[in-house]
Amino acid sequence: MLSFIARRILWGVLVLVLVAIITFFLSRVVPADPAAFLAGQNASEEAVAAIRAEHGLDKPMAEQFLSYAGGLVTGDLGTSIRTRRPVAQDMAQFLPATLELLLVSFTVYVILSLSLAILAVRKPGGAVDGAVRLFTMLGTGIPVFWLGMALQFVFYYKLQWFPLGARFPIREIAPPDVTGFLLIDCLIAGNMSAFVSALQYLALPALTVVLNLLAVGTRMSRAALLTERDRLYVRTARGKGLGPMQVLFGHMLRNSLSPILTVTTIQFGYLLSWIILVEVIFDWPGIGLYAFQSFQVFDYSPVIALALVSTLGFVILNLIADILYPIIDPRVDTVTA
Amino acid sequence: MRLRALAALLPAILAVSAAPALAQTTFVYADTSEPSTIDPAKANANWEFTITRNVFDRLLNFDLDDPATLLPALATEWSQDGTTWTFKLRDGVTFHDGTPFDSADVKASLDRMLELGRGQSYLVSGISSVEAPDPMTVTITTESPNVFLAGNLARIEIASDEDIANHDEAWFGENANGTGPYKFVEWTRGTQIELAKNDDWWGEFPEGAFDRVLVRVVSDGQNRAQGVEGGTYDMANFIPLDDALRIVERDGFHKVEGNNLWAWPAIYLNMDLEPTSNADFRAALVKVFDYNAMLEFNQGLGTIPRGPVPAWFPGSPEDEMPEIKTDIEAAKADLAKSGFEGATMKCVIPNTVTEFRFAATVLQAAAAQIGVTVEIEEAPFVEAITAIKEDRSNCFVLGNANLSPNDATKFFNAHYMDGGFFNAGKFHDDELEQLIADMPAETDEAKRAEMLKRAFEIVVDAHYIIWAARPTTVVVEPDRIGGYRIDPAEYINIRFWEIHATE
Repeated sequence: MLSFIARRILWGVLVLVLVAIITFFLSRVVPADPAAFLAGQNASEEAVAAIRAEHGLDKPMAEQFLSYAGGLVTGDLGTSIRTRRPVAQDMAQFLPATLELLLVSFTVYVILSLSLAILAVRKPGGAVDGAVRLFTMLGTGIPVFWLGMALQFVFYYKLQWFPLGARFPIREIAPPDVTGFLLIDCLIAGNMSAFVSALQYLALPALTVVLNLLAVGTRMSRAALLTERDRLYVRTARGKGLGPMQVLFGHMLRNSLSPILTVTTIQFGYLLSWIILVEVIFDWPGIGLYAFQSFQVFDYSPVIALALVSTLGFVILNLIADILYPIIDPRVDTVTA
Repeated sequence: MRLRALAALLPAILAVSAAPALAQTTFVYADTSEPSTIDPAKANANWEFTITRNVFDRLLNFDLDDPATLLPALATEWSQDGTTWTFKLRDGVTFHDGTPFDSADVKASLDRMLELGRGQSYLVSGISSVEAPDPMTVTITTESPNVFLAGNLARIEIASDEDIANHDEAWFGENANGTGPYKFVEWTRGTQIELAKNDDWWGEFPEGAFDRVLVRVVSDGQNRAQGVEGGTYDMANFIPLDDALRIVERDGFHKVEGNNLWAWPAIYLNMDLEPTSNADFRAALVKVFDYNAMLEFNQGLGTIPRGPVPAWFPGSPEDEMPEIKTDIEAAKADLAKSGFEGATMKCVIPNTVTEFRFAATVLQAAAAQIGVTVEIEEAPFVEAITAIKEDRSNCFVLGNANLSPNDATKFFNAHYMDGGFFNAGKFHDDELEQLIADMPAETDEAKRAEMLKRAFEIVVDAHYIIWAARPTTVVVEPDRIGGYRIDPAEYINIRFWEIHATE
């Protein structure tokens, strides 16, 4: 098992290196000059050149890459031209907001998708199953940016049920920043009303994420459960007199977990990539919005850092999934996993 | 039943307030971007000026309603004698950290700005030395007589000499200690910058001025519009025109409008590359362009420019100049004279601004009416401007504004003179170069106006630029807020010290 994990980690490192190389050179190929953006209107050629020199953009590309790669080894993700701070410092500040949104919405998604799938397979072809299938088909077809804007329009603009922008009421004092996870910080401060407020701000972005993921997740879970439903061991279990809940939770669910785990892992990985859209729509101050604002002025380092963090997340998730497969299903060994 | 009860309770649950509202009054402003710096020597974008203009003071201010009129600020008196300007400073002013303000601060700030050569330093680039003969007097020597210096100093913020001596550039990037009406309190990265009213400020606040200002970063224009309409934000920078016009029609809102743009957009034609190198061909394009289409695009708000300098600018000859309007027959005649009938030209335009794209499309459709084909290619800004500079494009599109309230020479230098970064089409005229070089030394206002008029005519007659539109800027102000005025020499800016609650 240990050698399997070591092999996986080595592969992960290789993937990260490749992503770093590709994103670095892609960003340099883009014919844009962040220095000109920073210098602004009526800037002289000298002012633009000074900014370029300050950030090493006047050096040959190979030299820029060696310097960047050398920094990466020591955890230095470069300096943002836009914020003029180390990217690692910026990422450390914005990552908790993204993780909070990801973890809350993903937890809700996993619970909901499994619950809907279980409801659907209780009577395949029935009314509930039909409703779930229709709902999931709709969910698959709606683009996330449209869904986010529609939810915002209805629940903020029209109904005024939920607030707009960022993570906490503008005119109120947020609890002290201890972990960066606002919900946890509210609990640490013992401020339940602040916790409710933070939840209100989280609601619409999280709902957007959940609704978008739910379609695929529910359909896959439903399909996995349906496959197990007609297997002999299920009939045997029923024949032994076990109730539907015991059959479902004691037998079927565990055997369906492998494909569900695969889909969940992939979903989480993709979510890391498109969370940027949700953060931009809702002004959620996480690494997605940070990277988007940086991209607008061709500030390369934060964009590369986001790619690396997403890749790292994907690699770690896959590793966890690979470790979990043999635990869920002993027939799977670490060679085939 | 339980579900119904929960649904009934939902609005009440959602309405739970997280913490008691603060007793002090708060103004929330949604800005388009997060500042890259709040260093007054480096700030150069309007979302950076949102902070620096309000936290720092300048030697002088200018009257937004009459940019020719300079108003005392940190300096109470000023005079020019040839190449020397003398400023008498205001007594009893302190920085937000309690340090007294004096002439050493002015000298250190200007010296630092000139040394760094960043931000708005081009506005004071002709300064050769700054002296502080006594704590309340500053003398500035310029390389040649410059009547515009005082006006340009109305854009230059003054920091503390102690901060300059004790802190590095990184500190200035994220800290601000000025003498201005609002104090910098805290910068929550990615979310907001908090300012607090400076009750020790030398100036006067209107009744109802806000104790606290929160400048929120809201990247999306639609979110800023919805946020202002829904009351989450009190005001916002750059609300899309359609939304702004819709919101101001609602109860509880009104509009503030004015002109702060010189041209938006302006189409630059390449003077070195055929067919736009031909003067008659350029004249044909200027005459065939559909200015009314641009006006309609701007919902009828704005004017059709008659040249580079808007009418409100001190000494502008705009109102005396002939109108520039669409005349297809005249365009055909000019095209025939040029010998480039049926020609094809290429426009590489920046892909960032909707109006730029629209103007290029209008040019394409208009030129087709006289048999000229315009090929449009979109590219990032730098790629687009490089394409025309390297003669790979016949045109380029840009927006024009000028930060100086009374000095047109800085704008002309950047856009129409040799070496100007935005002189994308490589325009050159010996007479214009001389006029712009001589203008700052001319002390007779009437003669300066004549020189500006001549400069104006040279650029118009060369048909170097198609000034597609000069739109009116519309700002949404809720009825509960008052005091907003459009700064004519800024893209959009806000003076928090003039903003106040009306209720």
